[in-house]
Amino acid sequence: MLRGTKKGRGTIVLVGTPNVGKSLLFNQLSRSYAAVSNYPGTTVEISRGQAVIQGRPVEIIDTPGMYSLLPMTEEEAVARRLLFKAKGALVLHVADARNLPRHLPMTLQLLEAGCRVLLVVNMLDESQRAGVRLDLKGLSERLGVPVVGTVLLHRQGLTDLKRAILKELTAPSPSPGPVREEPYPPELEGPLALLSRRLAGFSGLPPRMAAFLLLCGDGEMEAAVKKADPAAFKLAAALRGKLQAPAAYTGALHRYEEARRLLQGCFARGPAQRGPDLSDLLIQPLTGLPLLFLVVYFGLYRFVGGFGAGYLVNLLESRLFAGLLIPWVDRLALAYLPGELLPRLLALEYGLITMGLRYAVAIVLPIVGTFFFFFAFLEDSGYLPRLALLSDRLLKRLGLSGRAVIPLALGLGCGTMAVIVTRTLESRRERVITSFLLALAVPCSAQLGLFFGILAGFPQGLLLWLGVVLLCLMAAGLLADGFLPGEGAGFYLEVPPLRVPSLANIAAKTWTRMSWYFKEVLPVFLSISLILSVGHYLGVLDWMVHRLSPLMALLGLPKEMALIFFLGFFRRDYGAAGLFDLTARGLLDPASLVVAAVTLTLFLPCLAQMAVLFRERGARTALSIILLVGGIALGAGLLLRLIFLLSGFPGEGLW
Amino acid sequence: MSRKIRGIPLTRLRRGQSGRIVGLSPSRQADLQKLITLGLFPGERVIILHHKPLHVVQVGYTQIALDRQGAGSIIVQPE
Ligand SMILES: Nc1nc2c(ncn2[C@@H]2O[C@H](COP(=O)(O)OP(=O)(O)OP(=O)(O)O)[C@@H](O)[C@H]2O)c(=O)[nH]1
Repeated sequence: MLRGTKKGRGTIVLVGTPNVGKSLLFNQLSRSYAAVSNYPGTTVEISRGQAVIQGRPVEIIDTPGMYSLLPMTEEEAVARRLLFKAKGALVLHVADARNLPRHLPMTLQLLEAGCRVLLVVNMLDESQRAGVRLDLKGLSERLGVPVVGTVLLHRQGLTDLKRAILKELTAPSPSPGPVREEPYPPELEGPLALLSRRLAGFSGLPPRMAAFLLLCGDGEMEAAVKKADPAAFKLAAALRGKLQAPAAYTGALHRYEEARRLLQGCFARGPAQRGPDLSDLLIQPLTGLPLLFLVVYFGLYRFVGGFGAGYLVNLLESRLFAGLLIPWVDRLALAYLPGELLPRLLALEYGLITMGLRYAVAIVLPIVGTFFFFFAFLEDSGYLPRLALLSDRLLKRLGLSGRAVIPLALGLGCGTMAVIVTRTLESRRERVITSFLLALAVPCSAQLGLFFGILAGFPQGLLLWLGVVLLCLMAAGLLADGFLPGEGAGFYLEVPPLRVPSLANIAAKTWTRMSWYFKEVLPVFLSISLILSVGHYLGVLDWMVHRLSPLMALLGLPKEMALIFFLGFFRRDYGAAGLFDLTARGLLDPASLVVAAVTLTLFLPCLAQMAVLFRERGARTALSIILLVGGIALGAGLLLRLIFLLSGFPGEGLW
Repeated sequence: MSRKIRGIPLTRLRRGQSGRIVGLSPSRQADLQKLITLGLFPGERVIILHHKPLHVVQVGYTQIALDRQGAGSIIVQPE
């Protein structure tokens, strides 16, 4: 049913729990890169790649981590949909050797779903170190599917794996027998038999699998059956009501026992061991918080802020662009391009090259690039889950769980990407709150780097800005938690071992994210400068600045700031880059600078983030978030200005 | 689950102490599934590594962090 293999090119789907090495395998088989990381769940956007395996072209699909065929997060739902859609594909189930008893139940479930499976037992190095004894050949015979052992980190076992893949893809008739139909315990067997008769041929899944999912109350399956066969839907509900324990539980328990039975004689745990590790220091508040401070200080402030936003931007912006390229382009444009508009489109104040390309390449790219490098380092080392642990208590106050620290931290790099990553959170409530906080009070790396740079001269200003933004973050979270219906999130997280990050992994991941970012950002930057140069030419820009100047005056800001807010709407970083320009021209006094920085940070997310917000959260939620954020940003700016006026702080002398 | 289970919640094990899981009694059904997928099955042996800031248990070679609610829903027989 599921396995009508198409002739010609084959398809491979990689599945497995988070953090078992799927991305690594994907990168080693295909030529393109997926993000590889030591944090459960970073494969959010699906990666597809092409590979040539021993002369045969193959399509490879990487899926987000998945614990079972009953999805709990949106991300897992995505993975399952992908898996069920790829009919006839060869499914590579990547499992962690040490934890086979926990991974094998999913292999069984894949077989029940009618998938053609090849089991990849990865991380043999770690299992060996732990003293685990494995008999993969024996396991393969018992399971009836090919099993290949690998150490993907060192590319060991790849050749065997490729050979096995090729053998499967070219096999005249797919090798495993019929769909696995292990009898379940009697309590489930009866209802399953009843239901599966009704569901024969439904949804392309084996009827028993469809029946099992329905009995578990799986949302997607229920919706499909309700539409196609309301009677079967009712029957399922009635049968479910009579079960002593939830079907998902009985089923999982059974599969787990089954796996244990299959592994007998093929898998033996070594002596229990647990090395002394840095883990303890990282998660205990007393030591963890100072260490977090060090990570933030060296990683964000010194590396991203100092090296990226300071050194690299200076190199590219002042030396390369301002010093060399721009004068040259300006001169050429004025000399050779006819008319008034044409030279403006390419060069001068808002030109495609002199502004669009300059902002993208010279100001934003080095900052975002260094941030992604830093973040990849954290991911690969296994620090992030420990950070999640450390911050769970605090985040619970905001209606979130420790898991939310990942999208929030990634938001310090790129808010747009972060909103996508909220899919790893379990409840809709958590996703909404996180998206809201991301839109309001999490500056992206470009903003952060630029503000660090701009405010570097005034430590008080920097602290003030940081304090106010954090205050807003907390207040907004508390409010959201108070007003949104539903209960807070629970926290369950697998904590992977700390690993020495591999430079190749970090480089690959930084590269993937940077190319994603650049593809996203360059067209936007170029279109903005196009709009601006035309707007400037037509006088629309001056008109807008004029209309907004009363608001700016209210905030105590020069009227040029209006333009920056306008720019910030298209891209936050673009706005911050504009602020950088204004400060360089000496147009802002310290107090206004703080007001401007706070308001810009809180102000609306950029166009790309808003688009993703609409896509992920739906129009109603997205609109409410945007309205709230706009209101809070202006309110906070006004309040801050008022405080400054009344208190006379910061007096000129202070700076 | 509603069945009567003898044992104590995981939160009451001493740090470093081990126990065998004898039951799961989460307040929400979704949580039950989460515990299972993480390998916290009845019959498994667990060791408590931390209680603070959260509960961290080791099952097999996997370490799992749980909040109080999650850890409290795992019933173990101390060993
Ligand atoms: N020691 C060892 N580490 C490995 C091996 N394979 C992968 N890793 C490490 O395991 C971590 C996770 O690998 P990924 O490829 O990101 O895992 P994934 O399954 O794609 O995870 P998600 O993208 O989070 O779903 C990385 O830090 C790898 O370096 C291996 O064979 N041995």
